Amino acid sequence: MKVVEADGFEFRFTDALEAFVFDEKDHTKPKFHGAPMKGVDIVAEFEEAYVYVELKDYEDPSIYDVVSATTDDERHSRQECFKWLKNYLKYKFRDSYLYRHAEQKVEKPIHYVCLITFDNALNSRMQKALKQELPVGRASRRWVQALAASCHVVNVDKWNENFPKWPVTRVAVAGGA
Amino acid sequence: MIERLELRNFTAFTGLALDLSPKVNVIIGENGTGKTHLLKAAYGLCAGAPLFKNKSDISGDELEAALTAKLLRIFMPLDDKLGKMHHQGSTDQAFLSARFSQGQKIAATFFNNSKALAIQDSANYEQYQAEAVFIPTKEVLSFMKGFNSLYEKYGLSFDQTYQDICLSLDLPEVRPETLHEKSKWAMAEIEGICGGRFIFYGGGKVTFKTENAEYSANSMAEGFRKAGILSRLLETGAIQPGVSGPLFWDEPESNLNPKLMKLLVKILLELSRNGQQIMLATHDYVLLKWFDLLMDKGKEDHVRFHSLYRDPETSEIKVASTEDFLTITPNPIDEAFGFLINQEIENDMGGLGK
Repeated sequence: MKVVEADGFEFRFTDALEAFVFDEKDHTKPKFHGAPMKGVDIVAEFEEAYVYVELKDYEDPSIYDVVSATTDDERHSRQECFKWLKNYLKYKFRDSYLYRHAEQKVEKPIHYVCLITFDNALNSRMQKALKQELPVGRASRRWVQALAASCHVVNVDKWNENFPKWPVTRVAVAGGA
Repeated sequence: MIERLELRNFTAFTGLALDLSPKVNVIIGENGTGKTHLLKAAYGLCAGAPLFKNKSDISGDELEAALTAKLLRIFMPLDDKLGKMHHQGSTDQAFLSARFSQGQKIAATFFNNSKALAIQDSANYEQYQAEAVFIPTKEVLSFMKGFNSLYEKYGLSFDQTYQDICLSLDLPEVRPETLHEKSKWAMAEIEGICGGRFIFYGGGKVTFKTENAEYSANSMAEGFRKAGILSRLLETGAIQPGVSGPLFWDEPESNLNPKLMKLLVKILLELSRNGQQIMLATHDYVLLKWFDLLMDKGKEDHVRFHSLYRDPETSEIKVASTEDFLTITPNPIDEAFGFLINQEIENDMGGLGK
């Protein structure tokens, strides 16, 4: 069992070989990231695959005020926010892949799972956009391996429904909203 | 407007009570959870308004007969029997009640073998004279010519909401000075998107007129015909914000393109801001989401989502109501997307995490 806490969530990876905060900012910790690159929140290793996990809790208004928009202008910015978020998730994955390449840890298929507190409909849209741009699978005839084997965007309920061996719960963040 | 609706042992419902928003109410639920029945029951309980508008001294017997006839004609139960609307298996009487915003009330009961409703409470019901409008699922412009005469003469398989809407559409236009500003605005918006307007000649004859030509209403897209219904109801004053009774609309989304969907929600919100109570039943995520996106709390918009669901243990129909789009639970519309997500994860990740 590997227990990892990140961004207000606690994951219990019951069958992981390893699982850790990938973008660790504390230089005293053994898994300190330390490179000028973006990084996903968590990387978990299993017998047959790696899983990269990125978290975005949209119920925290201090991060994204756009969700609680009350005027038309604020709402219009949601669309911009969607594009921004898609790019953010995309580049986080790619930089993480490069970093893991340098660690020589890309020998197994990599699944990218984003836990975003949207409804399923919006998460489906995000998954579709991300899948095309990441890209998932072998995007070129010249490639002999894929960067990402798959990518999925789920909320907390869907995560727990689909990954019962990796239950996630919210943890109270001291001083948080 | 209706403040509270209660249904017990009636059709699909064993016991259901809804506190309605004075503005917009959106009913969701899987097939068979009674969305249309709920709308029809509420509409049926508003049927006193046209009676009392025309005649103030209506006896209790007359009211019972009128409400019974209304329920029978809008629900069309088997063999035309009121008792067939009693919830199967219930031992208590069927009970329907509505409480209106000025304190008026109507409550009625019936049993398996009842020939007519028994009014239990009609406190100040005669004062409730704001006529409701029910827009059924199918658009009617394509078949309304002669429909009313046929309906009166033959036992057609259309429930009475179709006749009612045809009659409302065939009313003459209200005087321009009486037409609400927001009604004018909405009619112009619909005309802009459809590229013309529907013309009603009476007797159900309808055409579609652009700047240069006139066409048969039947040749127009079904979505335009639906928008045309709303426009005409505003033009005749059947829907008059602040004056008319509730607007019930069953699945407004069918055959509407995305542009029309957004406009429709904009119009409904604007009407609700001006005193029009609205009750919709929908299966459509886009319609639901437009309400969430276009709702402006600064303009005191109020949308209440009512989710009908079958209790897994008792199989009874229950309702969960919320003002917060994200917390609609259960939400079968969003869950449909959830099933796609599950399948995709299973296809791509197999047994990982399971």
